[in-house]
Amino acid sequence: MTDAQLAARVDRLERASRRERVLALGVLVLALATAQAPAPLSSPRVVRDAAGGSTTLSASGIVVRAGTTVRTAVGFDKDRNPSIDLTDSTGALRESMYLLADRPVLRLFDRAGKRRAEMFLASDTENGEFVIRDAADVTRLAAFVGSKGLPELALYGTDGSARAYASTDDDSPYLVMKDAAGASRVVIGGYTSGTMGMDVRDAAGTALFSKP
Amino acid sequence: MDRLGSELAARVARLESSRLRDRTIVVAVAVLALATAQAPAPKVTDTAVPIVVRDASGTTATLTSKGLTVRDAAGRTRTFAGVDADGRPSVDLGDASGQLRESMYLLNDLPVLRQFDKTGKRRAEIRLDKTEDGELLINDASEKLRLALFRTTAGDPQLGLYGSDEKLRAYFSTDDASPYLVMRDNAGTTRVYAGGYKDGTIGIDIRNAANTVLWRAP
Repeated sequence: MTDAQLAARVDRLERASRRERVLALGVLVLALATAQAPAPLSSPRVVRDAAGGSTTLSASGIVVRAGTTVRTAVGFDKDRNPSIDLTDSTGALRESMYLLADRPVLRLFDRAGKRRAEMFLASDTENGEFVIRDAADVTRLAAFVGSKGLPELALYGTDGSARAYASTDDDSPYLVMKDAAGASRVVIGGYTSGTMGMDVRDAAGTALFSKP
Repeated sequence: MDRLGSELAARVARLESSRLRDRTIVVAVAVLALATAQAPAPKVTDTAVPIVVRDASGTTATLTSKGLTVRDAAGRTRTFAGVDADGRPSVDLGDASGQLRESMYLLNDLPVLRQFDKTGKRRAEIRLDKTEDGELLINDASEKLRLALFRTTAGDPQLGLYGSDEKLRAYFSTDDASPYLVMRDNAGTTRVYAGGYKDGTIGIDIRNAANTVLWRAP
């Protein structure tokens, strides 16, 4: 091989090398431009409208906003409870269906944020309860199954004390009416003796009228 | 070595060096591309491909054509909103064990909100019945009905209290003429009646187990 032939081969090699380098750099740029993190983390997705409304899908669920005010949230709440929350135009929570420490609750709130009506399972017995509260957050009416397993409808005063309740065991039902001091004044239905009847009592608990 | 030979030797040395470097770069780029390459992101309008958002804790939200499912890090469904497996519009909340605990859905197009205990028993629910009247039902741990607020088939509002045998023990209701309270024993016999009678009068009576009136007023 002559020196000229050798020089020609080296020239070709150098050109090929430059071409390959350009190609490799091109591929590198392409890879860097299109590479994505292999980790499964992903960013929230947001859909907006012209009126300023938006819906955000994150790993915790969906949040729907009117402007900056949250109106609906579905998923995990800030305490990591599974939750469906509806808020009014001021951003106040008005209705929430959620699991409070795994206990199902449906709550309706007034404008001041007070619980005014709710349906839930009791934390200890898992018995169902339906409760209506006044503006001071005092229970005024409850329909529930109590800790002894008896169904009961109870009416309460503004002090939260029971004034009347109707219940039943498997033997007989009973209705009790109390005064403000908590004394039973009227009892109708089954007595602990097993009889059924009714009586009216004075404030000291003395029967004034009893039948039969 | 003459001058040309020296020059060629230097050029060959540079070539060998640069080719080695280029090969290393190409291999590295290939590895990078293989490790990080992903299919093009689906368009949001592509209903065939669920959208999954995941955070560092492992919690995920998956949006499909059926709705939204939020799962905890253990993969248990904690919240679902959409159309359920039976084709019903539904909102479901599951506890940390994955047990369904609260569900609001349309059952045969009738709205229902149910609360379940840890064993999956229905314990409380509010719904519209077949006649589309509202009712509140509370069941015991055996799923027996114990308390109900509802409208009767005649349209009267009623509170009913039930024994553990699910038999009605007491009810308080009203028609347009007068309200009435009825108490029964475990045999189903009315023992106390107070309020409006069918003859239009209003009063109270107490009966024995044979349904004989023991006392009545007025």
